[in-house]
Amino acid sequence: MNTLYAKTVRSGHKNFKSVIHEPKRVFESYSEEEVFKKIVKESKNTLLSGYQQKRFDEYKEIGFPLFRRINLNRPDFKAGNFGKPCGSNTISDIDEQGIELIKKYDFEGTDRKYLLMAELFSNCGYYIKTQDDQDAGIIKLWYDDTSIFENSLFSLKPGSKAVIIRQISGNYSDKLRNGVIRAIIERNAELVLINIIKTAKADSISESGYFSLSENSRLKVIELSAGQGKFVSNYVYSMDGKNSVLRSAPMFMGSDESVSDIFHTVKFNAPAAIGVLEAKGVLKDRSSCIFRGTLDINKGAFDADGKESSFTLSLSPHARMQTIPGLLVAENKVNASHAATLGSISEDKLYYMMNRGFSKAQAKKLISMGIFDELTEALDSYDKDIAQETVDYVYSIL
Amino acid sequence: MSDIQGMIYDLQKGQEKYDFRNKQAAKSMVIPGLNESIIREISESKREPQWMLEQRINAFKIYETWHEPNFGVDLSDVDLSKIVTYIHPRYKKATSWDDVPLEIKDTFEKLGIPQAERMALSGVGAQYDSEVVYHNIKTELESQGIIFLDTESAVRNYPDLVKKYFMKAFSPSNHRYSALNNAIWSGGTFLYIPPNVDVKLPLQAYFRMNNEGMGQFEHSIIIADEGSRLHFVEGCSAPYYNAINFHAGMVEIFVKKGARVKYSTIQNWSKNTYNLNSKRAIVDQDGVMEWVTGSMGSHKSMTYPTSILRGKGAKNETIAVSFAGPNQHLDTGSKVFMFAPYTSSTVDSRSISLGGGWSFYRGWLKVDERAKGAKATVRCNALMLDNESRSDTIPLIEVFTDDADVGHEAKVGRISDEQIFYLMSRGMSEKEAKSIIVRGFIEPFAKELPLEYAIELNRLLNLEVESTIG
Repeated sequence: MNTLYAKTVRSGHKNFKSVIHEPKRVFESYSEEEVFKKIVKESKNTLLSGYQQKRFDEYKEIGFPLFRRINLNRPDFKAGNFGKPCGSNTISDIDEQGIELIKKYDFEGTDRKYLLMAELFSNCGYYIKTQDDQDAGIIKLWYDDTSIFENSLFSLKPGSKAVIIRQISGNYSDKLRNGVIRAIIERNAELVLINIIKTAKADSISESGYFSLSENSRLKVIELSAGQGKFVSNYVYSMDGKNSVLRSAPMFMGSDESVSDIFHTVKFNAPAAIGVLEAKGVLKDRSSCIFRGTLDINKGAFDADGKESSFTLSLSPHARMQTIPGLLVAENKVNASHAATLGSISEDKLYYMMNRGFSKAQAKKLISMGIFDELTEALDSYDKDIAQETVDYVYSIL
Repeated sequence: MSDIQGMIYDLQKGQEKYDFRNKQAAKSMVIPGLNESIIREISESKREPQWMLEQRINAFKIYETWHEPNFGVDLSDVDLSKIVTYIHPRYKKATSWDDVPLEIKDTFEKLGIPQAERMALSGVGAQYDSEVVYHNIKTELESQGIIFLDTESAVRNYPDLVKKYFMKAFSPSNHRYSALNNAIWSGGTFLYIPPNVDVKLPLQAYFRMNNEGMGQFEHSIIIADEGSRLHFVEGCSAPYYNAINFHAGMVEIFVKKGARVKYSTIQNWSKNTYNLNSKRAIVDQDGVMEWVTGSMGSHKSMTYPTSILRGKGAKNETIAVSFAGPNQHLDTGSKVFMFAPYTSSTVDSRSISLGGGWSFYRGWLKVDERAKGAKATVRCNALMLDNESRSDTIPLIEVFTDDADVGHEAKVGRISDEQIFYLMSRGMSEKEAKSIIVRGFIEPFAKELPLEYAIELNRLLNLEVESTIG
């Protein structure tokens, strides 16, 4: 099986190249070699450890990116500590088929260094494989309140269905959570992925995701990142089969001095695929968010229908929002558009609510909660307790 | 001939009017390369004051240490040490076309500049290679206190005024090519409009590169004092050569309180030209800056006209059209920085790509926390006329206040079958239908130009588009 190394952004056309900024990097020593040796030695899965060993050389060659530097000097990161089991670890039971998928779908992630780090030092990971035409129902993934290095693979066989709910609690501060997820959705299969990521103060979270959609497959991703920590995500949706359908709805709720850097790319590689990327969020206090959404339509992806939009509600004069909606189009028989709106709650809306007996603060909260309707409604249909917990959590931050 | 070859043939045909070469003007002296002694030589030949020489040398030091832009077009095939950075003309500047050397006058006659001056302009500046060869303004405007000179004459005649504004919209450390321009600039226009003067007809500057392998580095400064109004038109062209020609001009505009400046550009450099142009306007209270930009020429371009809205109620309006044909990579866009309350901005960018061309819109809109009550919209539309080309749009929008309304929308597509069918059902041929749709697509840009230029633009587009899409 050939490897499809997916760069997040294309940088050429015919004889032309486009200059792309490469981050400056630094090398830091944290006994990674000894830790890695220990992981390999203790591994009971030679397929997985063999794969990891091959990638360690590349990992050593790459420094940490300066612009996305994380604090390596934290208790959970001391030698010997990473590798400590966290949550479930079904990835350690990965079979040959799974390893081949991980090898094939290789990508950059939030940064190549962090992607490799999560794979090599994983202390948790889920290997979920459905059978053909199986309805796997609702699968809930849990994580310990420790630092996490996650390497997960969701392999949905033809005609199967699954709903996966991931929750990272954010109950304790100063944690490093670095996850890599691959979802390979085969012909006529359907996946709903709901990510709820709560960040506590001083947390650093990196989420790298790669989703491949085959013919007539469907994927819905609804994600909430909320809290006070640092959150970086990079998801690539690769529309590899014709008539594949994606809906991705990243949502963010920033408070205190939280920083979110969210980058979603939809790559259209096959005809008649539909990809909708709809980001929404609320910022308060001194929080900041960068949302980058890119529709990348390759030659041959005719009749593609790509829509991207972002909406940000600012509740504070000190909040900072950046949005970079990108359209990269190399096929002319397509519909591709993007839109972005940034603003505050209008006086009219507040007046309407206050006229009905709400205080100004209550009115603001209720209007802001409306932004997360898609998440809460979806959760409500799968698990009412998680839905209520999530509503309470967001409301408490607002 | 395949469709694509036909398009390329037609594009070259469209450039015939601009693709003629004159012999090197007899009295000129070519100075190739880029080093400090050349900079001193340029400065000395212009009889510049010491402060200007010092600025040049300082900027050159910055240039030498500065990195290439980490975005945009690939410049790895440009070797500036091989570019002719300055051509010293050994003839005097003229204020009458009769005094312009014959071969140069002939060039501008072919381009229709003297005729345009007589018919539709308040004044004209014409630059040929490194120096301005002709500069003239109508007498009645001169008597109103307007200063319209080539920049080096202004440095000598109005040193205090020039010093007050020179490299004040840009700094040499903004980027590598602002440092380069500061170091080796030559030519350009200096224009000062006194308070409350309304210049009814446009003023024009035309830039022509005649020589193979040369670089043009003009530096223009426009100051519109309080309550004044101005429309400035900039045009440029060059004959095609196999070697690289290089253009890194700079325009600094100062729009004072209540003034209004419209700056229109029709960029038609030959397809061997690298065009890295820097344009920036500083807009004070209630001032209005309008950028009307048409990019049709060059092999590779990076240009992003910028407005810095620093006064309360200042306004920016940008209308831009770019046309990327065969062997063209145009990385263009706009930047607007809103730093004051109740500022507003609209950006309307349209691009057309065909024949394998690559059109790239790159924008930056920043709404600072001081810009309470700001309103801004950015609209990008791209039309891909074939399936060989590429169209990309990447705007950056930053909002640092909760009291602003900011919207953005973008669309990429082709001419739909329904649109063509609709027009054909009303008696048009397919070719006519496509031409009308393309003209309609760029109409908001064309209508902002003076009539004569809109006609010229239509003529250019007819040559470059109509015949290629039939």
